[in-house]
Amino acid sequence: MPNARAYILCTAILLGFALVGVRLGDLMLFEHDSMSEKARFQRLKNIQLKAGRGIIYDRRGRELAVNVEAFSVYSDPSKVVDPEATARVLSDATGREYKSLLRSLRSDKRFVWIARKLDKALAEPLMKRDIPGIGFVSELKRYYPKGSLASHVVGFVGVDNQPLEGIELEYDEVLRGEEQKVVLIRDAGGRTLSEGVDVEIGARSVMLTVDEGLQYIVEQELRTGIEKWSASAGSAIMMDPFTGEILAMANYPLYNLNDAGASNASDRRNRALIDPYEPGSTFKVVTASAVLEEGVASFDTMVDASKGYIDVAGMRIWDTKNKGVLAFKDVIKTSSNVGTILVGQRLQPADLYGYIKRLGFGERSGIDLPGENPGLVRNVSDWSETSQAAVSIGYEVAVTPLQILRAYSAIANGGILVRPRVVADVLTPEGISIHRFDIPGSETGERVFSHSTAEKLRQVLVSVTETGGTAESASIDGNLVAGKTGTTKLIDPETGAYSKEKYVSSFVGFVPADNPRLAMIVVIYEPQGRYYGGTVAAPVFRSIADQSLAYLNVPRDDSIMDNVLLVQKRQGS
Amino acid sequence: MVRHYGGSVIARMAAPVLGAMVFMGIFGMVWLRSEIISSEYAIGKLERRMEEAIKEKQQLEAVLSSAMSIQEVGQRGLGLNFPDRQKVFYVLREEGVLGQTASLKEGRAGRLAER
Repeated sequence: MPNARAYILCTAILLGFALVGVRLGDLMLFEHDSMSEKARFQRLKNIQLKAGRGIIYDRRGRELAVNVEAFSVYSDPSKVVDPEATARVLSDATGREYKSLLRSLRSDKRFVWIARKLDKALAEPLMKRDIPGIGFVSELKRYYPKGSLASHVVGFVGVDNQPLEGIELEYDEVLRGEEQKVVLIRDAGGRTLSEGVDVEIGARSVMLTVDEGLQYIVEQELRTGIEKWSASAGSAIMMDPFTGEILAMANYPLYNLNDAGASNASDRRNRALIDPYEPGSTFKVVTASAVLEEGVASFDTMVDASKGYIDVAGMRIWDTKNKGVLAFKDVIKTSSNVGTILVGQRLQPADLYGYIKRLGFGERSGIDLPGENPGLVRNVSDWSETSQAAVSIGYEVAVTPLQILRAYSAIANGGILVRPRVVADVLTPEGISIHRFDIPGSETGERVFSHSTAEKLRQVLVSVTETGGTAESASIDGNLVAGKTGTTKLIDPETGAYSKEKYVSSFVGFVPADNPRLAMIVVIYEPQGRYYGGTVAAPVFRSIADQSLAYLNVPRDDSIMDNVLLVQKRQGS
Repeated sequence: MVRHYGGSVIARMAAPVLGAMVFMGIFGMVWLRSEIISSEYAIGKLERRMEEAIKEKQQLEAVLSSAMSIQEVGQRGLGLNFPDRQKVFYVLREEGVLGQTASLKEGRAGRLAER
């Protein structure tokens, strides 16, 4: 009997082994494919590594836009134990309204966002509480370390890093990092094994032509000027007149790039290239350039403006005061409307129109920023009887501050119309230059008037800032300034006529006049009390120019050779 | 009568030695495999730490960039001073007055001046 039991036991054990063997054989031979697929699915984890957006640097490599880690909070409402208490905690931590949170937590969805891209400092205490039904996702958030500085140039992105304004929008294809799919091996506990994945995926970055220091100076002084005159808004652009590189571009009011949603849409407008205005007297150099180039008069031609007004097709245009009989150069120096119209009438309308177009008015400059307005220059065939007179003194045309600055840069550089540019370089994630933009300089730009005309205009513009000119307040200690004031009335939207209270004051010029380093325009909208460009805008120009020349180590015209700091004179000047 | 002890000793030892070698080989392979896996765990852990460190670095760089901005320096009155322009002047380049090496060939200073 014991033998019989042993046999039975052995048989049972053998049968058991046989069954296991059969099952193993089945798994290995017949179910191999499906089983190995299951195993692979459990062991391998597909993840998408998102690259942060590229960094935006200023021209000296200082960061204007970077990426930082942020945490988005989500909920699976079905797993929330106490919706009221949870909503209260989340409301305190995120600042979101309690009732709206409670609604989200009571919804029958399996996934709801509670808050997007919270700072680490805010999210960490919440994470530590380990609230049931609440989860966190690490994301990259755009952060602008300089706050509102250069806000209208840099632009900003939305909550999902979608580009909305400025360089962020214009250069999105460059800055947008590409996603990378990675397969990780993990164990039963979910721990991942190293697969040699590069944990940091970089994107291409851009280097701007804007200089943080100059931008700060421009913004500070523009703000001071606007607050002094209780103006509604203002714009200022600083440009290298030889290359078209924008060194600073500011509009006021500014807005905080890290909280762009809190600002209103009008504050976010880059007025410097979006809002056209009638330029007034700053446009007289366009008439002067056409007059000189066509040879219909010289700066020594005498003009009789002694009546103090001129009638053009039933419209009477006044000077601010009687200028008498004066040379054309003094017409520009004293900004005589009557004198400019008298000389301008020697031109054929088509010729004046041609020079306006040659100087880039009525079309986009091609700057690499979104939303540029071409302005408005009516075709000469649409001009009325008053148009030639009005246009010659800067009315009946709509231009942007950038277009005016571009025209004055042509005077500064000897007659070449440069293309403004904001991005200087595209860099690899490692910081290697891969696309240095060809910055059109004097050699490659389009010649719009002769060097001799540019030189004559430069001399007259210098006289504007000297004694007897309209912009003595633009002169700075140590260097000659060349420039021109502008004062125009705004059209009252209610009456459709020129307002008697609302003005635009401007000053545009370049410095040092004999070796220009900076071309700049300052436009101030609706100043209160005083409104002449020489009183309102020119002092802002002076303050900016004075500090900027010091910042750039530009010597005074009267510098002597036994001092200590050295700079090299720019090539070609 | 001659006995061949050598052959039988080798024959007797061959099996255990081979067995030991096979056992050690299998053990070595398993041990090596487990070492590789644990190294991968360790590297994976370090990669996660590196990832955290990179994020921390990005955060700190952003804070630094913000704190070092000219705007901050200017607004907090930390001394934003511009150079005294009375002490700045142009250096005019004179051809022929270039730095030379001891061999009297034009040196680096000369080439730099040419740029």
